[in-house]
Amino acid sequence: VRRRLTLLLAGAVCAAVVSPVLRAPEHDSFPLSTYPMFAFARSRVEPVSTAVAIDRAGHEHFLTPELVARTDEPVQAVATVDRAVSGGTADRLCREIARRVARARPGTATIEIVTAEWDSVRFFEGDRRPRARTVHARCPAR
Amino acid sequence: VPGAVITRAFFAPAPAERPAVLRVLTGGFAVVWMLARLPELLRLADRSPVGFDPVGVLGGLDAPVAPVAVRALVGVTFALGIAYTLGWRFRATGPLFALALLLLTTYRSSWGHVLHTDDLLVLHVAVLGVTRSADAWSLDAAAGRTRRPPPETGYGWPPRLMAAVLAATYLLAGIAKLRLSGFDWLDGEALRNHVAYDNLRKVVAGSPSSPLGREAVAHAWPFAAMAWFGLAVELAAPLALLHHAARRAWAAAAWAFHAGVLAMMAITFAYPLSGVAFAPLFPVERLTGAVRRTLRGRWRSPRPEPCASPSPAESPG
Repeated sequence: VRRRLTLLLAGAVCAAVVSPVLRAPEHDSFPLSTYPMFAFARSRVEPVSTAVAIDRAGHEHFLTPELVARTDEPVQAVATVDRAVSGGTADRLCREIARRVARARPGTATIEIVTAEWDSVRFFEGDRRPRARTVHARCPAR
Repeated sequence: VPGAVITRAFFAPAPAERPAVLRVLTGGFAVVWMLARLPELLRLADRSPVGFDPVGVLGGLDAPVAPVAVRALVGVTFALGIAYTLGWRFRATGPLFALALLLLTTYRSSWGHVLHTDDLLVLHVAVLGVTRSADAWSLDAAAGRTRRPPPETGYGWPPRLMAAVLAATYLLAGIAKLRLSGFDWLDGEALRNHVAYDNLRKVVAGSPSSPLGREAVAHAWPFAAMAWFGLAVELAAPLALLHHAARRAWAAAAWAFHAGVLAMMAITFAYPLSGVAFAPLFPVERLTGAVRRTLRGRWRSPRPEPCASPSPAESPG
């Protein structure tokens, strides 16, 4: 009886772990997942949303994930900007980032929330110009 | 008959030291992981609600939890992690640590992107936390607070369940590639674009990217080989449950796969790279003998005399 019960429980654990296979393959969760992160076809030209700092001379600088979203994870910083853009809260996020940047980088004049499209392969071959660039929010760094 | 074979293999006897060593390894890894990530974990309390996207058991939340609760969860999880590793009051601290680690890592993944570097650790701790993994090498055992398990189940099945979970997660990742990209995945173009995009995303997010990955994306040819290798490792994971030679080969290949991901994308899957993720595949209790012999040698062996000539038995040749 004890063996049967243990087998039943172990079977339930294994079934739970493989159960995401019954869902749409792109569905992601934690800790049970289909692990779709690198599974889908990705094209060379894709949009990336992020926040940039414009200094007083007009030069653009990328910001760290810590300044953008209080995280070490670049992928979560980009996801936070994505959510702000799609959820209509880019202005709010811009002001939050501006407060952090004003303390950390005093020479910064403006923060922009942008979505830019690059050819990611050509980017590393030296062509760093974005194919398209949309500014969703702009705010002074203070 | 296959059912009887599986049952016999699943309940094959193992010493109490096997799940105990796995408990010490997973707990030790989790405690070090939390220490290394402490600033990041504490910053979870201050994140903007703009990015909150709860997943898993926290899917019902509609806003981030209070900062004080997040900081308390970090502290409690750390304390429970130490208790779990030491095997102290394990009947309570084992399940509680599994639950606290699940909550903490789920909360960490609830910000727009699931961090799959933590899944397997959480699942392994969940298995060990609710089974008899503190009947040896623990403060409970030293204090006589353990009982022998029923002989019909024994100590062998929790490590085997961990191994099955390990294999299942890799298999699922392989199946996802076939479902989402089909066999086109194997031409390497999708992998090349993933490596390029991931490194580009790191650059624009102001983070360190992989120098090797940045150089490699200029060439198409290595990516087909890497795609074949990665998919083969993932789909072959169940073979690691069948035979000890396959186990060693698969674990080495899977470790190399993660080393490749680190080199090409600067993504650290620390749990498999540390080797702890693959420990349930092996009779890890032998480590305790090695540790004992090493400690005995350190503490009891007289120091060799300076410039002493080797005895005939130690002489080479």
